[in-house]
Amino acid sequence: MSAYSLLRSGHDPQSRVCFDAGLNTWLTRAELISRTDDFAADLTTHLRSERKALGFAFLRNDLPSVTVHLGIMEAGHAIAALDAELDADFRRQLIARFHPDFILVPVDDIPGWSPGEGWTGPVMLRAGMVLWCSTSRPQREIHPDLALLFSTSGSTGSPRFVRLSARNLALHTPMLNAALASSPADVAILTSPVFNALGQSLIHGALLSGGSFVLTRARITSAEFWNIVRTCGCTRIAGTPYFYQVLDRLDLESLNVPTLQTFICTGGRLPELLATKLHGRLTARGSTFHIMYGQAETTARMSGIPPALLPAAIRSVGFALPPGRLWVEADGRVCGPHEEDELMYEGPGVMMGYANSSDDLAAGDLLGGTIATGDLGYRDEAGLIYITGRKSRFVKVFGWRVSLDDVEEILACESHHIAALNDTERIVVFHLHSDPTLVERIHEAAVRLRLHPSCFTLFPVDSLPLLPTGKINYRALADLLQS
Amino acid sequence: MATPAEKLESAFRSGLALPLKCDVPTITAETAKQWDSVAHLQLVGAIEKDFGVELSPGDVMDLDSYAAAVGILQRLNAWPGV
Repeated sequence: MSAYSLLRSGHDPQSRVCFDAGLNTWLTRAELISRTDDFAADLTTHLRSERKALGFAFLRNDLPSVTVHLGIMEAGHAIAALDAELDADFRRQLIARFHPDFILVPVDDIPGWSPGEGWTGPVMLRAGMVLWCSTSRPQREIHPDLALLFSTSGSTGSPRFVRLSARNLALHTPMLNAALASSPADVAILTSPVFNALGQSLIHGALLSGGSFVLTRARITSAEFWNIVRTCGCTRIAGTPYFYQVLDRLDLESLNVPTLQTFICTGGRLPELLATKLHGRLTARGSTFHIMYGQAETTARMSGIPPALLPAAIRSVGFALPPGRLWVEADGRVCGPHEEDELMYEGPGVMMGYANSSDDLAAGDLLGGTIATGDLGYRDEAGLIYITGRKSRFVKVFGWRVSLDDVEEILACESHHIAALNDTERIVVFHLHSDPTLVERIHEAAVRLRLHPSCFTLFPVDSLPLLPTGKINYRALADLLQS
Repeated sequence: MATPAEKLESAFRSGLALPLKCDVPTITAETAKQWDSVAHLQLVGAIEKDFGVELSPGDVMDLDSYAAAVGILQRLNAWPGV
């Protein structure tokens, strides 16, 4: 069994590794290791078994969450990193489908939290989280390599996880650290949740480089957040395009955060105008801007624009980070420059595969290090990669992953046909008839998908264009939107 | 014509996508589940549009309750005198 070990990367045990803004406390590496060890010991006591187990951890950006998250992997178990704010119905569905052996929940959530029948608990652990154990240990295998599961289904639809191995993390992290010139002097602040690929990549990166990371639940629009950046002397920040829209609105210079020098953007396309403006501002203050591209399916990052090529290459997603490789493929044939089709990726972070149910947890590596990204794009003569669209029906809106099929399913009712299409940070809803309840259903969809209702734009059409197969012709709808 | 209080309540309802039963004048970022950073900028946009004002970066960060919004609008002379 290959357990996760980035926590023990050989750096000075007395060096600072993690700041929890809620507790207003810095932890050294030795202290964090001691906490994860205590947690692992507690977990073993309560599980009463040495067998590899699956834990559902409902996390937020604080020290207890990070402790159990790292501790589960260090102990050689598999963790599904989940949002503590997850909708209760969806949470129940996930538990019923994947039969975790144990569940961890933040202490504050205990009133009103119950996993239902068949669980013993709650037990308060030293890590500051609460544990429930399944009374009937499921008779299924968990693959020895499996370390981490990311939820990719948003909060509706069919629950599905990305399966990552300890090896994925062990190889992806140094690749990313090299691209970002990470060092022990880094102090990274998370703007994204610890349970997603972006948040995780900063934590693993800091553990490996000898740097540190800062956890806060303060909103990026609050003065409190920027006070933390200032007082902790944060040097790097990573966010989605939405974060950069906020940063633009807040005006970086008036925030008085001179130590912040490395800016990382990933998780969607930054509008070109804003990217150019930000690049100018950041360069003027001597900062470095990393515009990157990745997916949870590849642990986190696949490519980035070398900062020296900005702003010229600003429309691209750069080159694959070595030793990864990105290319365009049409029906199994590698495409030449400017030929558009699906982007393929080969690299150390490529997941083992998806898990749609408990049975899939026994599976090994089904992809062999190569994945079809679901993104459409091309490369230019210099080898820079450009993304032009999405082949698959999963899109990112404000950094949240949304299934357009889920949107259609929630919005559709018997007499109305609905088609959803993503148009960079907006979901365009094409609908047939004037429908008094559509606005209401959009509100419902927004709540279930955890989006702001303004993410949806209505577009009435006389008829929905169809392909010869009878399916909706989304390309025709996209053209309609352009015209 | 809508009163300033009605306008502000409506900006909060649309900006933060609040449920009908929500008591807007007592709302704070601390207590409202809907008040995340995406909703925050929507709220800022709604207030700027409805009151014809422009919030400074400091105002944007200070805006963490209905009461704070009233304070900001008073400073911008967009709220009836106290």
